[in-house]
Amino acid sequence: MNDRDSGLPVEQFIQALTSQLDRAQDAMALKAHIRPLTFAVKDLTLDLRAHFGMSGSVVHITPAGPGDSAASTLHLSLTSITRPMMEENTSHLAVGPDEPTLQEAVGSELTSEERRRLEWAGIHTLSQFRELQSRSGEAAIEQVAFIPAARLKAALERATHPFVETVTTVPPENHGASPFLHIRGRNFLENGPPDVRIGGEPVPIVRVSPREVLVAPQPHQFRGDLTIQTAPGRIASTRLNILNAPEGPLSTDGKEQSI
Amino acid sequence: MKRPLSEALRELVEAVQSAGNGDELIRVGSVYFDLPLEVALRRKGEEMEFLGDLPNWRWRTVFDLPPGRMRVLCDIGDSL
Repeated sequence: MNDRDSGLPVEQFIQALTSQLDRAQDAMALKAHIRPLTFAVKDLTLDLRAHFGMSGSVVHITPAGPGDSAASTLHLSLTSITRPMMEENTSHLAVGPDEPTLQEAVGSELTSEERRRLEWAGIHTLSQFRELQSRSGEAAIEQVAFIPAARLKAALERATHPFVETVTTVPPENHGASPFLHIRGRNFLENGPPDVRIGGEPVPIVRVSPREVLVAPQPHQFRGDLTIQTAPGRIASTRLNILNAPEGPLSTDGKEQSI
Repeated sequence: MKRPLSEALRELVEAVQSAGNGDELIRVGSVYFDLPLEVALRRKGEEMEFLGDLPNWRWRTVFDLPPGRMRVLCDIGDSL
């Protein structure tokens, strides 16, 4: 394949350019955290030598090659987005503290480059993603972010899967009983209570909400694989290894703990 | 081989960082560059990468890309 391609539609050309500028600014912003008095790019103008052509109804830009004296000049003036500008313009996009980021929600279903393109389109969170999808459909997002509709559908489907963030023990109300396990995460409630298992055995559920499940495991169920299934194929799995597993009930019945 | 524009830009801004260490009484507050810039596109996987770099040589040959112009204003401010 040719290393250098012929050209790009205008939007993609500008996105390729701004992605480079974002990358440079990200690196400089990182540095600014360490050294407060740091130079940053404030204004940037570019005069690029290029050819313009139509392909179908799309305008293509092709950078001029060696010996190309008849190229046109594309003049671009770019302003970096400052913090006050951002705050002024993004209040309506405020993200709740509980809201998962796009990366947490869709996991590896989309590549980092695809997530970046969604962010260019103003989609930073799952709720923004869903809102735009329900309002405009996948085809519109596909057009803006250049991600195939089928992949967007798969990513949204992946975002409805249960996901475990933390598992902690909760002391029992009466002495001698096994502690409860408090599981925090997302999407635990779909049509009814989920199927929670540890080491393949069902665990009684005490309380469940979309963001948490409280279960009452048997004394031998504090190690092994914890699975939470909300629907066929929608399953979260994590390995449990609770260090302060209950001692009392174990010593009384003398059962061996499954690992 | 040209570098991605982000690298060339970072290096440029990096070059002025060393113009002071922050504890001087007087220091440079802004720098304005007006430089030649060669650009090209390179396919990287499914993406197109925007390459942009300063010319390698002062004397141009027919094999070199016709340079455009890059003007950069850097300052110590609240830019992200």
